Amino acid sequence: MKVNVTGIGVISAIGVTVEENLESLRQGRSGIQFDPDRGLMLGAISFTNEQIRSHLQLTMEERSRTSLLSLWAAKEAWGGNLPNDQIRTGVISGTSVGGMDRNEIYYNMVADGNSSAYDRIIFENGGTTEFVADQLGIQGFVNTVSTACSSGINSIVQGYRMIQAGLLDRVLVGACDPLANFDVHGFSALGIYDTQRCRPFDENRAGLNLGEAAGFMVLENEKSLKLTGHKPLCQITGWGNSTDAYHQTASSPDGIGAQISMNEALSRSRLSPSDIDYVNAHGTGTPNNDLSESKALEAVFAGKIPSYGSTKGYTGHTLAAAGAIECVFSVLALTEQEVYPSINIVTPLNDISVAPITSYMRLAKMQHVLSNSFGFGGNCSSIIFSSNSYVH
Amino acid sequence: MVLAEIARVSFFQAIHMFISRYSTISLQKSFRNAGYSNNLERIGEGTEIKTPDYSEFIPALVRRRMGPLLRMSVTTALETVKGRENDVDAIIVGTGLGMGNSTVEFINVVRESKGGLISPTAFTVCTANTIAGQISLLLKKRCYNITHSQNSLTLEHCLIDAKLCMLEEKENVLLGVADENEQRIFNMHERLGVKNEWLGEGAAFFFLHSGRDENSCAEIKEVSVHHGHTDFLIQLNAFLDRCNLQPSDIDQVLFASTEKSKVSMITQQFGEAKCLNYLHYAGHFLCSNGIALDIALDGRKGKVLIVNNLIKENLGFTYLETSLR
Repeated sequence: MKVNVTGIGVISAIGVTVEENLESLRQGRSGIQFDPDRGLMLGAISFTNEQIRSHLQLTMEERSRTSLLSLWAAKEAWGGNLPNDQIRTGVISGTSVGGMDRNEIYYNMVADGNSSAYDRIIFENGGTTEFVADQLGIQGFVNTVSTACSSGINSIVQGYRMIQAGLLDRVLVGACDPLANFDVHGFSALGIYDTQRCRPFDENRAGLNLGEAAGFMVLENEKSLKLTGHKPLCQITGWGNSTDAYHQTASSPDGIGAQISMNEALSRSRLSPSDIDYVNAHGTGTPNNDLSESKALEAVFAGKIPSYGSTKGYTGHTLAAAGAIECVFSVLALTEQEVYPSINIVTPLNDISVAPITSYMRLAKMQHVLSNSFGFGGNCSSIIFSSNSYVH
Repeated sequence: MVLAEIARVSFFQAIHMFISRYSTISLQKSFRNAGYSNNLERIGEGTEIKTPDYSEFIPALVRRRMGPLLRMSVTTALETVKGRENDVDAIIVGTGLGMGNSTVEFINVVRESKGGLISPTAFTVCTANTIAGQISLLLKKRCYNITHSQNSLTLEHCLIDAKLCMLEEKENVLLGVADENEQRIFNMHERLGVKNEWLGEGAAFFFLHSGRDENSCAEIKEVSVHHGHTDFLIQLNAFLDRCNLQPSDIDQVLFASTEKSKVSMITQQFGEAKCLNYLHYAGHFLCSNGIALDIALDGRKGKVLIVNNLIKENLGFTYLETSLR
């Protein structure tokens, strides 16, 4: 069964709409800036919570930034879709920290002796997705995936699988994580920040920059298309999900989990490695990830690595959202027939036989794009987007 | 909407999903204690989780770094797959709250550091998928690995995922749900509408497989989820219709609801003698239906319906048939 992508939405450090993100990608314009309060390079979204609430005309009780950013991007992807009794519709989203941006404030207030703050602490993994569903008037199947930094791809894959199994006709899928002090301190404790803008796949890369984002897309089967009249942007043809089973936070030296997830995705798409035109890599800029992913790319593509790059130099590492926004970027690459440069690279990584794309390029007849996301817990996920004309 | 609901999960009956092994740590004496469901004790003030000596199950070096939630999850997971470790094709874990205690631990580490160097240890085990990740590490399994976190419907979403795995020709799935009592952190009693002493915690793991074997003791026949305002009775009857069941066919109803009106609807529909409010025994928590499923497997009453309405706007139904003891 064909699973079509019919809508996309994204908010990140390089723009608050798909259009703005696309323009930044084409211009090679990073959204990572020095944050003087935190003393770090961060990919922050320019809007405050109040601005988002006001744009979305939300009048209800305060919500976490996770919920607000999710709804923002979900609304853009959802567009003019309407609830329809004939179209079995669901929402699946991913997050790693849920409502952490607010909870950390309340925990600290409680610790400082303000016991009334306890009542404001919320748990918001599933609650974020329910909020999006409620706001858009979607009832029924509402689920949340939480596999750390691979959550984005996994939530999109769950939507794909639900349609493939004939359980849903249309599903809004995506992921979000906000910048929370919790993560800022956590990654600092791990000692993996680059003090400059991150340089994925550079020989002298020094680590990642954190970012915040939300990315969503609408998936529909053929029955839903007939009723909505939507024209598909592209289709999802394959996915992979594996575990490195190596270490709680580090990737294995040979990227075995990544190899398995990419190979699974290729096999499900019935594609050969040589069919892939572009890889949107996980490419965080940490010495460990980029080396491990390079080894995996070498193994899967047998040395003939297609055009590839990482967009983390634009947005920072947006954790659970990373997979989702990079899937949006992959859809853009495919529909616009172009690839976006990996920025900030001075000396390409020695351990990989092919250098990443470092300048904007049009690629004629681009048909298949693969995107990777890996996370804590050893989770490795891959997904393949293919042009509409590909007969799966 | 109702018709759409009916069509939704019909594929469940086309693909079989059996359970052969299970293990649970809960407020009841459930761990390694077959038949415990005949002697369930109502919980109240002072009821504590009944944990085994973990040293038998988790290597000391690993155990030291694990908090209570990880210990109980990993122990029940390992106990469930004992002897079948190599057969696991997928690891599916559900947790409503995730690693709340580690999360607060790390927030406190940051507070106390006052800008100095901090240890990342608590941070690295804060993501909800830590349980599934640790299981894959201990089993050295690189298979499909996922974590669902959907409030009170987390178990149902895990079961639906397991069925998708079987549709995709995976044979054996290790599936479990776990949550710890985090009243210190979350205002759970207000969210769930109960007093603190009624809150619960626990871990429940199950070994599911697509082919019946001599150890199969139950089959998950149908699962459904619904988020949003809905008519409880219409949903219940639609679910029974989909399973081709009359209320009188059901041998046991394990239900969760804090609303009197719904409790009386359930007992009127099925007869009070068949109905058990599992929240009185598992305690109120987002994955308490995992304990209910374990009670069903331990009790082996035949046709069992689990009605999960722990949170008003979330409704889950699970229908299973057990072999008889």
